[in-house]
Amino acid sequence: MRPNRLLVRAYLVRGASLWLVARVTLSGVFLLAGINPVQLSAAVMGEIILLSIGLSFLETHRRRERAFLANLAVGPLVLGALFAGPPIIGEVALRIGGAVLQ
Amino acid sequence: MKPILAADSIVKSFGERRVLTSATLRAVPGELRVLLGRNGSGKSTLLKIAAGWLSPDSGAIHFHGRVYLSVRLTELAAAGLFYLPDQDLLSTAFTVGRQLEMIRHQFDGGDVSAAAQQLGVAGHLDKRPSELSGGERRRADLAAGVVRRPVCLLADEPYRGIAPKDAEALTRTFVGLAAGGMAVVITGHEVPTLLDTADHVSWCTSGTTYELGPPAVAVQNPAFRREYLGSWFHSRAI
Repeated sequence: MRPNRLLVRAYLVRGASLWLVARVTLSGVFLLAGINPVQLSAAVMGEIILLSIGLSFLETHRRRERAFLANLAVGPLVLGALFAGPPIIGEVALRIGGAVLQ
Repeated sequence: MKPILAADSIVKSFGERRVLTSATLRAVPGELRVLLGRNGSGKSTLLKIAAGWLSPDSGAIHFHGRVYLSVRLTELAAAGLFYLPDQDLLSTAFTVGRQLEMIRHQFDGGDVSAAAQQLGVAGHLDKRPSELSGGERRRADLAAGVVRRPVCLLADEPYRGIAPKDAEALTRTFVGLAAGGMAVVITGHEVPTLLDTADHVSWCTSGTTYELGPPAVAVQNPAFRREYLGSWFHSRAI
């Protein structure tokens, strides 16, 4: 079942927030290691995306939202897609931005 | 009337321990059914299985004309089932009002304000569940079920840990929902409250279930009286 716009917005915001937190933290680590955080390999970008999705699921688990979401007929696949959207867009935007600035 | 939900011949073990050997649960439109049983008798497990929240080892779930050997709550929810778990339902991440609106939008549900008013949580719509008392959270959870307007509502121990006044609001709502045609099944240990409100009593014991019928008939069952109600219970209370 397709989630409604209120639900989509709420969980996209969660996905975006957690990606931002993960990205800022990791960028600090990359800078300390002398790596340009906007010019990462595709594999590392993929790992950051997976990490962000994982964090979003952990937050959903921590908030005990499984039953609430299941009652809304929203399963893990749909939720995963919502959580994946912001980090994918963010990473692609950073990659393009980094290439343009270079 | 024909059941809209039936969990038939359910078997479930946790490791070596067999909790359900051949249990059955039925939800009938327009009826408020209670599932009683001692702690550890498997009533919550049976309700979870009927809701698609837990997989049975064997048995079948019939819901809304379809038969499932394995089903998830997401699928049953899309078909009209609402499951109130024995823990808090609503998330602490969003306000009560926002979550009720999510449900309304998802299923073209009922009026949020009216449901909140009915359950006495109208003044808490702008609060997160973590700001509410246990009783208020339970009423807010049920308000979600009212907004959802399901064809079948399964509530696991909805009265646990709440004050009598909060229990009253829940009871009124359960009775009203069943009177409106919904199939309602609830579990719990609050015997006087549950027997007062129920149309039908099922008893879960030794891994199986017995359909005892209306409360007035159920309390006359010698085994039920002896093994569950105990000697303190007098049938005149019904």
